[in-house]
Amino acid sequence: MTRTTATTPHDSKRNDRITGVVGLVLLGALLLFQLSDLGGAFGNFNAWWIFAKPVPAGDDYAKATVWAESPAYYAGPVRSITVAMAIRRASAVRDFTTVAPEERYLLWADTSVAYPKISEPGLYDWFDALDANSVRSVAYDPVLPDALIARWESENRMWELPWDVVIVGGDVRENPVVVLHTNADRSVIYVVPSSLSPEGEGR
Amino acid sequence: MRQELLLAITTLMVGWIALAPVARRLGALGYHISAMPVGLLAWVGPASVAIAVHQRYGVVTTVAGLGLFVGLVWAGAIPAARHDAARSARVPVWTFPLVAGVLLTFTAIMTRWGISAYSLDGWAQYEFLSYPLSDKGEVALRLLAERMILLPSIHAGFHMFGGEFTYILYPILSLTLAAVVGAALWWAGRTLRTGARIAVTVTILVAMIGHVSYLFFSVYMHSHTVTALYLLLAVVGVERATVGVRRAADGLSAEVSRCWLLVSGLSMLGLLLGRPDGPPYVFVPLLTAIAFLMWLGVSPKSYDLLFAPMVLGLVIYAVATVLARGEFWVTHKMTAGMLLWFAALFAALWGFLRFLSIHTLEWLRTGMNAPRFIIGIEAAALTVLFVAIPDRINLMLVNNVTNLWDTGGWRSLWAFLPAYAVLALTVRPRAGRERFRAYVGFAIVQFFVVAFIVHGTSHVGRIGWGDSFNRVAFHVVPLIYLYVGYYAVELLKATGARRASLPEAE
Repeated sequence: MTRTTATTPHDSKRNDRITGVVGLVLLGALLLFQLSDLGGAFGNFNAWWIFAKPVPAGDDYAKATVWAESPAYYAGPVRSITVAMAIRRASAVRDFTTVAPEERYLLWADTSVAYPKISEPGLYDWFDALDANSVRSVAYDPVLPDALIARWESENRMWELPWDVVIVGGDVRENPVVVLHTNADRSVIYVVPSSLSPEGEGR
Repeated sequence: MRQELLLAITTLMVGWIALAPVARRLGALGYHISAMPVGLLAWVGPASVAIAVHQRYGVVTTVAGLGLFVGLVWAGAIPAARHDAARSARVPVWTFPLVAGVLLTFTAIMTRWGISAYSLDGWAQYEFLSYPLSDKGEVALRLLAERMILLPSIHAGFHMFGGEFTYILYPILSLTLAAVVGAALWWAGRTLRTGARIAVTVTILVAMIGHVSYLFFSVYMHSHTVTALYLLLAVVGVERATVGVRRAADGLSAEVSRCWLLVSGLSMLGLLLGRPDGPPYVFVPLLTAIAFLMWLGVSPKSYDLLFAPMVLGLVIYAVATVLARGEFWVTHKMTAGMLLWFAALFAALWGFLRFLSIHTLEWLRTGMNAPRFIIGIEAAALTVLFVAIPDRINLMLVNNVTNLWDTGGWRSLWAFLPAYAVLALTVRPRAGRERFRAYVGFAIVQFFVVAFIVHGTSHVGRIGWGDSFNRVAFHVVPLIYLYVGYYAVELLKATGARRASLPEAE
């Protein structure tokens, strides 16, 4: 038996129209079903958004380190970044120099004392990489007298950053040289303008 | 907020200036949506200058670098504009403050909100490695190895404006990506009635933007949104270049818009410099473009602006970094030699298309033979790969499929892909078919072929959202929505939602 599939232009147009409507209904259903997934955001957000969670770090690299991936594991790098950002903020000029103790470990305490939750509190080469110009290593005792810290505190000169890093000097930001210090138990790193530091600009 | 707004407006203005010679040829919408991607790419200029002279991002290096980039783009844009002289549509002056206003308002809102998402790659690499680049013109080996130059060069620009943490770049990229998808759908629906045209554009955009993956990648500090943007624009640029062009019977005389091919070529350069796996993935838009242009039978000179940015860009980047580091650098992900090797490969392909008569390839340019031929070869190659390293391929497939379907955070997105594909291939009206839709489908297939090769041979992956391919899969998502949008336009045409007369060129 012979079958014919010949159609008139009118039939063809009608078929196309029906195909179009069927396709649109099916496509619309798929898109709608997919969109309904947005509802998950209002239920269990953590199950809906399993990616890295959005955080309000803004334009603040030091603050961003607080929510960094595995901060305990990367304690050295995140603290180094925070110190470097503190130095940059303390020195609005771009050609600044940082004075740091020759023996860097003098800036932090024994791990078990100061940072029981993290393994490596020290500054890494990350710190040097983020320093725009140079880190001048000088032999000095970076520990500040308690009285001096208390005086700066009373003068509201302290600007605290995460990871126990403190900028001294408030909004005075025209310092081409900053000096790194710590407190008696070596748990806090102070970024001090050379004009305020007992070390001056270093020897 | 100052630094965020400065980055946004400077980038947009540099894009406007770079594309100024071709503005009238691209049309107002095309010019404005291309300006931001081209402006972002321009930041590679200051980075190259800073690296070459080992100086920080200052006024001199930045202006010189941006000027160098603009000059190189103009070298291609001016002849392209002359060639496309017949296609001219004035860019209304009022559109400039409008576009700038939208961008700045969006930037201000996102700045006020201040949210971002990042993992180790973001805070410890893209952001971190861009500091030595902006401060000293230093290009760390880790940057070359793992990140390539594009994003760190933009981050470095942000630092130059006084910024610390370049979170704002990613929402801006997301906005630009949505704008390109929207514009492409708007163009696709030009034969539809205005209501239908708006409906299809808005519906697809809402579906794409409303998906959790899009929302995440809009704030995620990584190379994915930028790569998705350049991949999409490279493909859309080819479509725009060929609008209204009739297929040449002799195979050599069809004249396409070279201005749009320049935009496409620049986007491919962006794709190359965005990630270390950029060189293999650039074959996705490149093969799509070649297959479509071959079918049309374009004049051989048309390929110049597609290839020149890639070849020149790779050579400049390789030479600048070799000079700066004083060595022919080698890392586990990328080497200076590989960059030059890819530049040579693209140059060879360019020469082949430019100087060998395409008449000899008549079979290839018939119907869909070129895409089918390419897919046939790839199928054979993938089979060989599977036989050669079955364990790796199996593991890669298990990891990737598990992530896309279950553990990767995509919800049901990838389960919809087969449904869309089956629907689009089976429920098809006879009239009103757009040939380019098939090429967008071809590009999507190419993406998975390249992914299969790259991840099968180098990175089998792991379970979890942070897996490399699980994130890379986002690069093709806008293309998938574009494909679905093109399909919706075809359906609407069939239902009679056509307009009586075509609008003026847009």
